[in-house]
Amino acid sequence: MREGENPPLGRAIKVESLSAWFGELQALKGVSLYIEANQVTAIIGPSGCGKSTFVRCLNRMHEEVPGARVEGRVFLDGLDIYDPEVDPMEVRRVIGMVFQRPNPFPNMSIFDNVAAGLRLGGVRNRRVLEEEVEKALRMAGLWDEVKDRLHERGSLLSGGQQQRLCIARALAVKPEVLLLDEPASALDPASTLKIEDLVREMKKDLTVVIVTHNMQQAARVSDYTAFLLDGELVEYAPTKELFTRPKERRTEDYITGRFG
Amino acid sequence: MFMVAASLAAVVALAPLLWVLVVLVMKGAPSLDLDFFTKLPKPLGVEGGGMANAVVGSLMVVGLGSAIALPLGVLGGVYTREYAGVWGARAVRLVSDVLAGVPSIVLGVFVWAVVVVAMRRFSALAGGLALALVMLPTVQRSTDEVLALVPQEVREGALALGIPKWKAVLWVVVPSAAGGILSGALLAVARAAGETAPLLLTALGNRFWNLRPDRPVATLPVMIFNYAISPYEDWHRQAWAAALVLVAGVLLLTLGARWVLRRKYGGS
Amino acid sequence: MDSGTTRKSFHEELASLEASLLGSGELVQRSLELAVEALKTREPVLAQVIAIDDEVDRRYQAIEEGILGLLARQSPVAGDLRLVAAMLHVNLHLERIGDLSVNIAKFVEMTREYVPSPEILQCLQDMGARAREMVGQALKAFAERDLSLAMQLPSLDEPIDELNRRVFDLVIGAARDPSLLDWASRIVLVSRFLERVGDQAVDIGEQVGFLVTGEVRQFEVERGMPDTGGRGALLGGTPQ
Repeated sequence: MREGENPPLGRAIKVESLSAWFGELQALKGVSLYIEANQVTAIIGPSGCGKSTFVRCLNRMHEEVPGARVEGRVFLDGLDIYDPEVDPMEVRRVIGMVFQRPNPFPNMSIFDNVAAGLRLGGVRNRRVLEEEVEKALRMAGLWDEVKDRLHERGSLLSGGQQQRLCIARALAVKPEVLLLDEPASALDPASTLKIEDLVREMKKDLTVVIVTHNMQQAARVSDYTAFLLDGELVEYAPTKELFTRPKERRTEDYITGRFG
Repeated sequence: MFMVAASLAAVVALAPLLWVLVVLVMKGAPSLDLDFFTKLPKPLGVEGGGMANAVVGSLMVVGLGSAIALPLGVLGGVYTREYAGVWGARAVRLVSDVLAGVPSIVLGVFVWAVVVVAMRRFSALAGGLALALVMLPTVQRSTDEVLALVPQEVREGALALGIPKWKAVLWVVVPSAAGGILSGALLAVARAAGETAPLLLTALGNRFWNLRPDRPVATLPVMIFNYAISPYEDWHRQAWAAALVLVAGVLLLTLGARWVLRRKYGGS
Repeated sequence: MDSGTTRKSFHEELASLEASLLGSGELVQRSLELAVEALKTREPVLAQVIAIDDEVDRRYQAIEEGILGLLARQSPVAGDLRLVAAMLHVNLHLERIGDLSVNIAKFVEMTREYVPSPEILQCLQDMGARAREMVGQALKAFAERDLSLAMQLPSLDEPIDELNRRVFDLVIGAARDPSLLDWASRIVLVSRFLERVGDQAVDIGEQVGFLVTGEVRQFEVERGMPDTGGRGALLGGTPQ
């Protein structure tokens, strides 16, 4: 980064003793880690290990489930997002999320989908909306494919395109962090690779956290990898390290396929 | 073998409907003329006239009923599906189901006791209220069920953008169910348009023009009732014509509901 | 697809490749033994040694292909990945040792009519015994993932290097006796071959180091520390 350039927009997240419950069931047990700014961090682990729950605690979506509870602190650039003074909505604007199954808003055009976050956030100016929508679609690698049919319904796109549409929608509100919860698991291999390329590109502008059950994907796409098991953090290391020389027996057993 | 039985059953089920339509058209069409829609009923014993006031009156009471029941019903459905806790939702749904089960004549009596007696007169407003009570549970329930079909991911996707819940519900969830909500509303209206019993005790009837909501008003179903039980041949003819018009109106509303549904959901 | 079962067959495949590799190790030790014995007994072992080497070469190809197939199909990671990479190297080292045995046997064949020097012969026997011992220990360290065993190898290599120098000195000494000179000057190569076998064994030991620690380091004997008994240490790394 040269002198005088603006520092990259992403921010680091410090997670301190994060615990989460669904009613009586504890899904996360005191997880602590530091997510580096402008890097891709992958969260891996067997089904039910708490990786989705973890990520949903980062943008305060977990608490939307009836009976759900969170304890612990999550600092975004020094500010605890669970501080009682903090509005969960603001957190979600700054920490965006893309879900496992593509979920474009039904009955809305491609343009309206991408613009939704902006419009509902109060932006009215047509020109501004058009600019931001184009930027977001370009970032998501979808612009060229849809620029001539922005007013067609989002649900008419293919699965891979729909997911990129959802990514564009999330990017349009300019978050600092983007959380992706198994974004490619419902997609075909070619779309999956496109999404992976996208993730690598995105880290220039934001911090990316990606949950995946596909270890090869985690190995391909991320700079850091965290391995969760039964709600606990077992190991967290630079990806190359974790996949060539894991320190924990459980990590080694999981990634070599001896269980899970 | 099963296919034959099923097809036979379908024919048996549809036959009465077709029969009714055929009879209506045969009996009603000849009596249907412009007068029907433009003239007032003639005094007892005099030939001719029409039911212009009843057509307008029906529109009035159905309109009033819709104006009350549709917003309340849709909001009620939104409440039970999007906002209520388990117990709140159960309570509202229970009340709705009970209300749906109350015979419409009883609803008419209720409105009579509460509104007509208080106002000391029959009125279009009372009629509208009675119809609203008929429509309300239907609209609430259909809105509730259509909203249930909206995948949870849509709500999560909206919330994840950092917008408040009410905006997510109003601008994302409800619009995505718009087709279903609209068609549910149209069906409720169609049903209300044909209700007779509640109107007997509330709107009563009127042989003259009336556009005032606080006065009794003529409606097609009630006119059909009155004319049909009369001894006059002429009135019988007009009753058939009115029946045809009523059924045609309901049919249009029902078809309209299906068309809306197809456009919104079957478009691809 | 049950990842448990797929991985089971992967681990079975991996285990069978390793067994094949260790089998090659046995064969290579045998051929070395035959060749070194023949130095003294002058028996015609060349055909046998070549036959063993052909088998080693065949296995070398098979193991190489098996490893490539595993890499392509299974994307091994962590310990499995290191094992696969180490096997690839050890495979090559064993194949080299096999070739060296053949070379030694060829020389025995070629120098049968010559007059040997008992002294030089004794050195060579010594070297041969130590070289065989080193190969055996290196393969044992590999099979048991025993790092300390592997780290002793450089110190076992020292005597071989010394003997190699001694042979060289003796050969120069033999220049005075023309009847010996022919044989001696040719047999120098055998000494060289045996020294290289020792080096290959140390290389195998380094692969054990990589396999166990994940670090790619060269072994070297610690100098100036007589009380450690000349134990090998990882260059620049902390003693394990």
